[in-house]
Amino acid sequence: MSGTALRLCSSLGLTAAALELPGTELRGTPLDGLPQVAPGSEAQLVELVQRAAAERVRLVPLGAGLHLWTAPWPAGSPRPDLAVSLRRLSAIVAHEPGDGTLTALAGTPLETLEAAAGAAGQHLTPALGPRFREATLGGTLAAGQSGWDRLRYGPARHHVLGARLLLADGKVVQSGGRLVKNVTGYDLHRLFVGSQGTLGILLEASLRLFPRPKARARLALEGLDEETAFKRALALHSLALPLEQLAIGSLEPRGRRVRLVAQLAGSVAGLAADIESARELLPGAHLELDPAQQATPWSLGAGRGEAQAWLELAGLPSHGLTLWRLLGQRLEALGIEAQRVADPALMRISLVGPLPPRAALERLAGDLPGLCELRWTCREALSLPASRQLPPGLPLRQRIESALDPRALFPKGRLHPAGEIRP
Amino acid sequence: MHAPSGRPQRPPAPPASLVRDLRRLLGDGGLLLDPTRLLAYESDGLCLVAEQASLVALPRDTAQAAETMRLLYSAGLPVVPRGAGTGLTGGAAPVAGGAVLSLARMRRILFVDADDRYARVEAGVVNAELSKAVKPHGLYYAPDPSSQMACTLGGNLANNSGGPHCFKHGNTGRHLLGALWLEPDGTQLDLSGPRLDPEGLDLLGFMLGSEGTLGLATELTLNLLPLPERVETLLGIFADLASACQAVSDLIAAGLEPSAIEILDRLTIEAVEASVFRAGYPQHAGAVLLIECDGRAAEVQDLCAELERLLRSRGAFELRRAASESERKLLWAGRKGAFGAMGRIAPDLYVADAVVPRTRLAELVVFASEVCRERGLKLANVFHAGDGNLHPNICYDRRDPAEVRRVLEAGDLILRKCLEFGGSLSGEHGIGIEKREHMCAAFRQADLDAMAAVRHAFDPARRMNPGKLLPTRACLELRTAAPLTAAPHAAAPAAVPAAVDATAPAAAPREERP
Repeated sequence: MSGTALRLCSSLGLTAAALELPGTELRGTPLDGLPQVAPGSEAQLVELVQRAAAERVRLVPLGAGLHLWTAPWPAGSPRPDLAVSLRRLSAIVAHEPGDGTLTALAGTPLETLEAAAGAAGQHLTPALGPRFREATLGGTLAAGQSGWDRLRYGPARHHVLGARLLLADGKVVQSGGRLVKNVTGYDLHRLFVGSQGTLGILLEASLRLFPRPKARARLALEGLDEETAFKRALALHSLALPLEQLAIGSLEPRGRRVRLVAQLAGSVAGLAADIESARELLPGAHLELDPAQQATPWSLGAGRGEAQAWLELAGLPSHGLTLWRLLGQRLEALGIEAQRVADPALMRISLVGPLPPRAALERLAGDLPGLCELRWTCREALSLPASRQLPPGLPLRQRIESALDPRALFPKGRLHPAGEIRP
Repeated sequence: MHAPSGRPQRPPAPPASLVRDLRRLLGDGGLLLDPTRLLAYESDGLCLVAEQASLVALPRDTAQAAETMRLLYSAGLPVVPRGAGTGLTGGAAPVAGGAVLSLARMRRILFVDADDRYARVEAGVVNAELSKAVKPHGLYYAPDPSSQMACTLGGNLANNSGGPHCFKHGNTGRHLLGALWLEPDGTQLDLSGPRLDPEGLDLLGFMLGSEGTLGLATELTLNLLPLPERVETLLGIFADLASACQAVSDLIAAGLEPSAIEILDRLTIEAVEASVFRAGYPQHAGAVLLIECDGRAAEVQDLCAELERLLRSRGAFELRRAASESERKLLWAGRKGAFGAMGRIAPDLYVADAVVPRTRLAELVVFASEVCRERGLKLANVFHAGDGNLHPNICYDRRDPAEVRRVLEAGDLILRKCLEFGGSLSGEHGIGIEKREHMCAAFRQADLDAMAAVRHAFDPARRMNPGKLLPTRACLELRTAAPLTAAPHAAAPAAVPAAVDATAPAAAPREERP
């Protein structure tokens, strides 16, 4: 552990503990052996950042640490000195059901926010599902996560109305507001959502809430062949049904038979008619009314518990079947025993199953064509080099990073190679 | 609100070598230099501000636009991007002696992917044209600003434009899947997608609503929606405006989500009913709520029934539902023609744009009426109630300087009250020049400094639309300077007509949403 970082913590009355992330292997990553602190007040956090900037102590902001693997930690990037968790800065600042907005501190668990929204008959997006109950608002947004509810509500970033941000110079700035419609000033918060903690710290965010669907139904059909499943899924989607989930999952690692699951949500009378329309496309489907358990597309498609690893391919819905087959062939050739699950309307394919050997994952990534975007979101990604191409506009991206964090107090290189930070 | 400027000075001619290079690139029709032709570009919808550019460049495609930007950058000229010039805050007003880059000749819909429901368009495509073009595929483009017959999709990105139906479907940002972008020096940045999530930092998200101050979008990739199976339009008739506003907040709390919720008050109704936009609104009403529901037939029926129950319980003494497509169109024609219709009750109209949390709507409209009553001003309200986005329209005669001063003062007080209620300066018109100095009331210096730092990262040489969106001086200086209300010369006889909402060209029929 860095002596300077520890001295800094103790001078602020903060006790540092070794960083541990549930279920994530830190060995071989820049996070291995990092001390972690959790300030108990915003004032303490601001002071910590100011002192860290003065003493050149590099910080990694985090919430519950559940999404730190959603972007790589390139081996060559500068080693951080201290992890700062926001989980003690947890409170709902404002919730106005009549305005459909909610504002909370970054460390507030999503579960708390969902419960508050739910009590007012409202839905909060992103809904991440049971595995992420402890995920915090700030961590989820910083990691650019959207939920299982994305098909209905769109990506979570569209519904972040504003935020308070803590910059590397210790200043707290406001962007946006708590309003569902607002075009006042530049939206700094849009840059922070998905920035993986590279620009500064999200202190507080305001979200738009949605009416909670009054009824829900799930239709599942097993044993379809791949082609029929994709055709029917897209036909369902084009009917503009109130779809909440759509998933296709392979029934076994190497077979051609799949399961198709569609979940609808809406008003009681509306849903009854929609179920009839959906059934015309899914004859013989098993119908479950008001399924109790919320589920991600991955668990719906695979028909069992949560995935262990994801390798996400994103493309256009019309390319779905091609990508699906191609991925199947490559998995077979590499001897990877994993089920595939597709979200055909959004066109993402993930792998569900035991973690394949790292070498196999790397080969797989190397084999897949430019037809799709490949995104590592498996836990192995912590130590994998960024396998994607450089994003366009690298100099602009670096100028933005250095405008907000000129001395690289926060980790760089997670979104693109750090290069040299220009003054 | 910005005090009117005098007649623009004729700027110095642009460098001869630049003119030669631009003419070679764009042809004679693509470069305007004649002062009489430049006159048409001296303002946008905020006619109180006029400046004369030294040239207007009209590229035909992205390659020409990029080369134009490169040449202007090398020559050191500031650049103001311009769509249709329907903006209401001076965002597209030229910088004196600078260049205007108009997207008016970039009007091609490049392709439509009906299977994956998106389109790639040039930035100068008019908003309504896209919905028209994709209708045969059973699709439409959801954001529908009232100026959609004229305003461009590039301008919509620059203002993150909304419209009545963005209550349910969201404003431009929710439908933008990608853009081809030019940095100030003409460097092309291909973010055209379509992508599920941004690659790294959400540059597109930051570009939204940036009012042409960061660079130029030349092509947009836009999400399309399937045409709804059923559309129903309801009219809830209330005795007064405040109870109609309260009903809006109550229906949001009750989880009812129509696609649009608009309010018209008594004065607006009178104006509409006396005009060619006559829609059959009840003239005995204090206010009406115009509500639209779209979606699957059964769902829409269900929602309408719930809405009617709620509106009745919140004081609606009469409810109407459009019985036919023509009746539905008529109700919307009245709403969209409202600004034009107000020409009947006053020679000039000050169209304010502000937002409050939806729980504070009723209080704010009461406050605005009071402010106007005290100043002897007529106030007409017609606005996007579902989004808390108000448009108090103050009637005046610009030939009366004292009245102009009272209007500016009232506008300023209303904006400040919005901020006090947790609202903001603009819901959809943007900041431009008009509200630039009000930014100091909405944000602290540190907030503005951080915004300016990122703007500088996009445009280190400060060439893009300088003087817009952020205050030109430090807030402290502004606060100690004269108050932000009317300058004494506000209505000097030479002033050009005051801002009338460009969202409503009086004669043009509106494109109706499908």
